[in-house]
Amino acid sequence: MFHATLDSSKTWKQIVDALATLLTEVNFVVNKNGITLTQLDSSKVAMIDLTLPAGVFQEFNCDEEMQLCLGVDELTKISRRMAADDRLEFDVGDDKRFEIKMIGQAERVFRLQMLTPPDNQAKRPDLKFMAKLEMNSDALKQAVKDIGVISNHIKVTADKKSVIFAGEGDTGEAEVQLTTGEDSVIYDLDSKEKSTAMYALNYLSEIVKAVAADTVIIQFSDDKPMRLDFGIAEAGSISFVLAPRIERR
Amino acid sequence: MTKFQEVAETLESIAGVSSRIEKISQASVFLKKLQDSEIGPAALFLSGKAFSERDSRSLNASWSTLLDALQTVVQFTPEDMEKAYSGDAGQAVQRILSSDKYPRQSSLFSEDLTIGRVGSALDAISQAEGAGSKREREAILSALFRDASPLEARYLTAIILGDLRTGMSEGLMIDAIARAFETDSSLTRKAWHYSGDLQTVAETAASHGETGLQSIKVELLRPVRPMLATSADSLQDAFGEIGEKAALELKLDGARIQVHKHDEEIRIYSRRLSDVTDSMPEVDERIRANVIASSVILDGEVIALDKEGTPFPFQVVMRRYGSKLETQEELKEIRLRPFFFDILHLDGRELVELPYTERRSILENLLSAELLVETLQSANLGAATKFFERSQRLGHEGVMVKRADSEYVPGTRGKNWFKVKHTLEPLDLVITAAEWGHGRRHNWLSDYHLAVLNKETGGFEMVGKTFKGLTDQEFEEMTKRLQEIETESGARIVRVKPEIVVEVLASEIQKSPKYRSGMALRFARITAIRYDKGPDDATTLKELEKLYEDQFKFKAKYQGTQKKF
Repeated sequence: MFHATLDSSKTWKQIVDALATLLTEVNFVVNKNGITLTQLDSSKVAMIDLTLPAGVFQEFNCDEEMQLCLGVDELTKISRRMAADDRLEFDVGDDKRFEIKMIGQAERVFRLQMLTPPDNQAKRPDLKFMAKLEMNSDALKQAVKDIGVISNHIKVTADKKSVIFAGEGDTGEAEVQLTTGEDSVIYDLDSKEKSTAMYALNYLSEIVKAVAADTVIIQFSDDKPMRLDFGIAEAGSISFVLAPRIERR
Repeated sequence: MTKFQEVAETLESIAGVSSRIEKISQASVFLKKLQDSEIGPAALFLSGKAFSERDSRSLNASWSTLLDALQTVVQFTPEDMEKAYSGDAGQAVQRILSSDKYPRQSSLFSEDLTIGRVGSALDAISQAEGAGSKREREAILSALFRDASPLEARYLTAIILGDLRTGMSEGLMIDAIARAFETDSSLTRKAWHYSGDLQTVAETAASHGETGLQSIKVELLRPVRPMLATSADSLQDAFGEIGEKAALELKLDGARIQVHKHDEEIRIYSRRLSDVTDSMPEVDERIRANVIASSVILDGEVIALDKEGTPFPFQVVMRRYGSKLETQEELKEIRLRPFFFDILHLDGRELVELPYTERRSILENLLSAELLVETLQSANLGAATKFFERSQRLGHEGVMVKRADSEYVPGTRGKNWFKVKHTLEPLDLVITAAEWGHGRRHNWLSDYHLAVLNKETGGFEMVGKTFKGLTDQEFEEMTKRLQEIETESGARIVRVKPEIVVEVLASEIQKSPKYRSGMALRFARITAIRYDKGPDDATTLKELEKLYEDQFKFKAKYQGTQKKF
């Protein structure tokens, strides 16, 4: 048995949109502490790690741990039907269906067939990072768009004082340089040495679309995966890990 | 768990030997090494298939989908691909992945490809549907390519595209299965023909041997590979092969169907064993109304007739075949009609091992004449010739000549059934380009682009292609001649000055948007190289258009929405 309520349909939409960037099926693990999800995308290039503590919800009851495996397509379509001021109720009863109730001017109920969960849960890769920065998320979105004009990959370089996003394509090159200091969009930068890595832009632009928080934390190392962390649904958190593109030498 | 690398290496090695016996032996040695769960998928992979024939799953993955997926793994340009591609997609992928030149996308977790992993990835690709399905297929493919060695990627590509060039046919695979698991080869083949499922046959042979294979029978609602006919150039040739005990049937110009009825359930399968029931409701209806048997398997042909009962050309049938019925309006105009010539099962009794004449009389007892293909039993050559002429007057494709005492042997093209077709008068066509051949023809320009003369423009317009009709020696000579007059040479196609004229027989001329001429030949084959003729003597477009119209002396003409052709 699982029951939860959420006052803001906007929060739920943000969660669904974030998951839809990379996944076609979501596999939530629900227990008394809240909801978590750790999943690789089908191409195994990126991973999503989501934590929604019970406190995100106004009411939250789960008597035993369960897996909730659902189609993202259906979730997205349903969340599009939510009105801004709808209150949401989630239930899984004995019939093993996931029920979403939208309570507003009308009371609307959607019941979804659950899918068979995958055999094994994705592991988290063991990662250490050389560079860590916290920045304004709009500035990151703009930088990704700028590089996307020219290139299909983005090269990130961080040193003690600055972060550079760069890319090159058949038609030319693009570069966005951000320096620390007052009024900078870089709020914090910790990179003792110079670190550089390259990532596929199609993944990164999907991922940054999911960022609804004001700030985002980026961590990476030379030719190693990048991790992006940001807040979601007030007390919740989400992180994306993206494998690098490696240039042959 | 066996690595897919071993499958790829076995395929590479099989491709490298030319002897069929050696190919069979290598495949059987490999099958023997595998775990039980790997045998079925491996048998499919080695014969170049992702799924067995009667499996309804399909991959929906084209060369361009593969290229998009590959592009997310290594970053190459279209020019790089053009350089790597010389007619073999798998080889091109292998070349791209072997190069150190390109930046590469890494993955968070990588693991070796195994037979099991490739099998489940192919299944996942076939399951992808709905809005994000293209992206999903691409993601699964890119995960495979990322973890694949260049050699693995080559054969993965070939299997996905169904373009494996190892000379390892499913037929040879059956011999390899028989050899690996020490089962009788003809019993193994029979089990394959009955089930249409190489995977099941491999697994059964491995787990239950001959006893298991014997229990694979013709089953209701499971399509059987149809028996096929060998082409004969003339009635005399067919009679020469069969002798006196011949039975003739009209050869209808339609699409082969196999109908299974089990109580209320009726399923119609195509020649390639796919379920086409939904695309021909009127056939379903007709069977429901006229076939009084609780269970039956019928073999026949579906053709399109106009109101007077004159058949439409094959093209019109194909328009309906396998596609959902569009409107009631069109249904009225093109009505599909089934005609049956054989029966494999009736009310619990298997009939395939009965002689042809007995099956035919069971069929005649069951069905009314309007559902039967017209036949001429115990014919001599004189009567047969008249029957052949009659088939042309009726607008049919030719006749079938069958051995009266022969069994129904599913899946085989043997010496028991022959087809003799009407052909059009010979055409003189000009070769404007030629393609390099595959397999044993790879050193020859063996696929010829055939053109007619357009007197109005003075140019030559393509009407078809063929690789049929020449001997090895002629191919060799033709290749030399073509290279001497080459004007443009691509990786696959060589364009030539329009000089060489060949005599071509075709079974039909069709309207087609495929070529600018608007016409296309069906079943073209070269009957002679006309050294005596030059390009100005070639059949003209006008003449071809006239021949097209002449066909409708015997055939119905479809006057519907032409744009859909």
